[in-house]
Amino acid sequence: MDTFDNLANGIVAVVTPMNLLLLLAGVMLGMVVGVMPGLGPSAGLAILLPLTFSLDPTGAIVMLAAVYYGAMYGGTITSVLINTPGESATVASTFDGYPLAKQGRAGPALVMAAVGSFVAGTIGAVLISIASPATAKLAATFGPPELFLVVVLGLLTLIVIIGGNRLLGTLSALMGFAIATVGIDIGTGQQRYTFGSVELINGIDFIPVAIGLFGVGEILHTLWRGGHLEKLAYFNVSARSRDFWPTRQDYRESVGPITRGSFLGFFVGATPGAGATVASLMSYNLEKSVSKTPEKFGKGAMAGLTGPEAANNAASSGAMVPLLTLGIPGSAATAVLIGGFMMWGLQPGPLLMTQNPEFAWGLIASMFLGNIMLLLVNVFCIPAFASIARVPFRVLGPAIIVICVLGTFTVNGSIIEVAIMLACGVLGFFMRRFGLSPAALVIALVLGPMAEESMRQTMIISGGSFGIFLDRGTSRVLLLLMVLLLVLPLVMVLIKRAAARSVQRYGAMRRRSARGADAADRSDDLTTDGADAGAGDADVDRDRDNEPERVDSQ
Amino acid sequence: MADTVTPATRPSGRVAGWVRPKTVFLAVVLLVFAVYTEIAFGLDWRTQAGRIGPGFFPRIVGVAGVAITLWSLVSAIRCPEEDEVVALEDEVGEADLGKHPRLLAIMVLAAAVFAATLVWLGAIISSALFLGVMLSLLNRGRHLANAVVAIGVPLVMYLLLQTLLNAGLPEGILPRF
Repeated sequence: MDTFDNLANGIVAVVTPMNLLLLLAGVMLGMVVGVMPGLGPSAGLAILLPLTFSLDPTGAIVMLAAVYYGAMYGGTITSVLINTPGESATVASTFDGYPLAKQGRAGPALVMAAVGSFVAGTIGAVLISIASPATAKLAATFGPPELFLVVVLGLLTLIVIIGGNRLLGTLSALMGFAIATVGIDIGTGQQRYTFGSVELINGIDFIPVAIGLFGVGEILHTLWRGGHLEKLAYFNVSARSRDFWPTRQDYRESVGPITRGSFLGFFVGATPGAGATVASLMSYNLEKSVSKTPEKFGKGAMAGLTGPEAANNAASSGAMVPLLTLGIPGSAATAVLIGGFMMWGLQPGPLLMTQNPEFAWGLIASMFLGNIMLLLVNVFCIPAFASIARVPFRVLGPAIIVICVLGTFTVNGSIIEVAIMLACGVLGFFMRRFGLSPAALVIALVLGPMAEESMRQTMIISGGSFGIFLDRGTSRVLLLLMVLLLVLPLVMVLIKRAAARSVQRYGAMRRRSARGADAADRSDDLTTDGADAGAGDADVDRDRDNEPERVDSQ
Repeated sequence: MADTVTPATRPSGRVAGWVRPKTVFLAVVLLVFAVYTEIAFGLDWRTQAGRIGPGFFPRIVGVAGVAITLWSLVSAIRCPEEDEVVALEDEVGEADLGKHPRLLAIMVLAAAVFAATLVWLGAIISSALFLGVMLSLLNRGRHLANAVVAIGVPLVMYLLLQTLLNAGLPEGILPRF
């Protein structure tokens, strides 16, 4: 009952005219950011963070959370209309989204993606409401040794699951740790790496680094690979057209994928480092494997769009669990959110839900309300957002640099921070180009001071002995988890093979049963007068006649 | 664009592993980590009271950083084919439009000048100049559209951040409004 009471209080705290306005503004801004090529949720959050400084913490976090899940959906619009994902989490949406647009079904694809996002977001919010208090209660029993191990565990998970080159992932995290050591050492008051600069005494602020790596870095990388020369070929969508709305068949085909994607996405998202990209690609593979018609995947299968779309939105909800309960960001976007928490004087972690229940539950409540708003905004404003996707990068790129520079300056009025931001932009470009992970750097930058502080406290408690990590039961469990995590890549191949085999077996079973049902239907049809024979063909013909309006822009 | 390096114009011969861009980048990172570690060893490992000193974490980070960067550098020299990593979203639906290092350098330089003149010229003028220069390079021939964006974006940003939110943007040579 506590959960319901807290949630009700959270909703009451959020439902003020000002907060609802911020929620709407956040959803709209998030959609705009998501639609812009090269900018994902993390860049959007970093750039828009300075806008929230004049707001109260609840209003600010409501707006930023809305930007977060608004941006997650915005990327889908470009995936479907111009075959260019707004960010990596919507890559899977291009596989079937763009073929659907080519068939003249861009409208239904976008509406179904919005419905999938809404359902997944709502399921995710329900699961957060259940999982967060339980996790926070467990985390409240943690002392400094456990907190230190949790931070290390979070980073290890990030590096192990991050994919690509683990060596370069580790290097990125170490770069983040190194940046985090700049400034005054809290324990002794001694300056480290300040080189006599007054501006560096308080350390390198998190915001310029995040804006530089995610905002400027992305723009420079897009420019370098010729984004300014791209000729956009896109499909028009109009809400006035009858073909804009999905059919019953679309809904029927999407129920299973959306449900599976929601749960899969939430649990993958709750794992630090795994994130929305992994969740959406896993969901696509799962749907293709269990589908009765896997041959349609890649050619415009609605299930191939709605499953990954649900998974990436549920993953963004799942990533909030470690953030709210352990204070550990599971992704780059939640790392930016955690930076925001700290600026407002809130310490994310086990005590957040007990010391600031209005804030924590307000955030969860805003997810329920934000999802409703996102659905309405999505369905009725898709054509408007689609038109933003047509603004070419050669105009957007320089404008985003201006927003980044002015946004960074407004944080502390410091030109040094603007210089740091631009330097991080150049670093972000090289990191992206050579396979390093800006996300790992930012997460380590956030976790670095936390690790150092908890390690210091641990050593004070133990009198300088590292044996404390083996003396405490919870610490031993966490150490065991670390060992398991380190051997995970070795056993992962076997697990993947076993999982793929069982999913394929399930898919084959479904296809066999579907073929059996079709054969039975056909024998039934032969005994009737065949009045409705060819109706399916007529539908196909209608689809073929329905040529989409494709426009090439310079 | 004169600086474009398309697949057709790329040199066919393979450059030695140790002079490729990735190895140069990793060598710079190694140098930075080496300096970082050297400074870390100048800081105390433990305080006089026996607690963790200011050099405790920097030394661990520095030594690990040097080791991992060295390992990455050796891997990059031994396997130069892994030099360029294509991001997941770049693989989808995009043609190879060549590489544009000169344009990238101009953008970085222009952004640096923009930052350097921000306080002196003010947010509106310096932003408009930066946008004017970059748009004239990237969006050639569309003078009216470029002028509208170059003046409109700084003005809207100023109205939003300064007039509405009082965020403290520099006014420079223009009066504050």
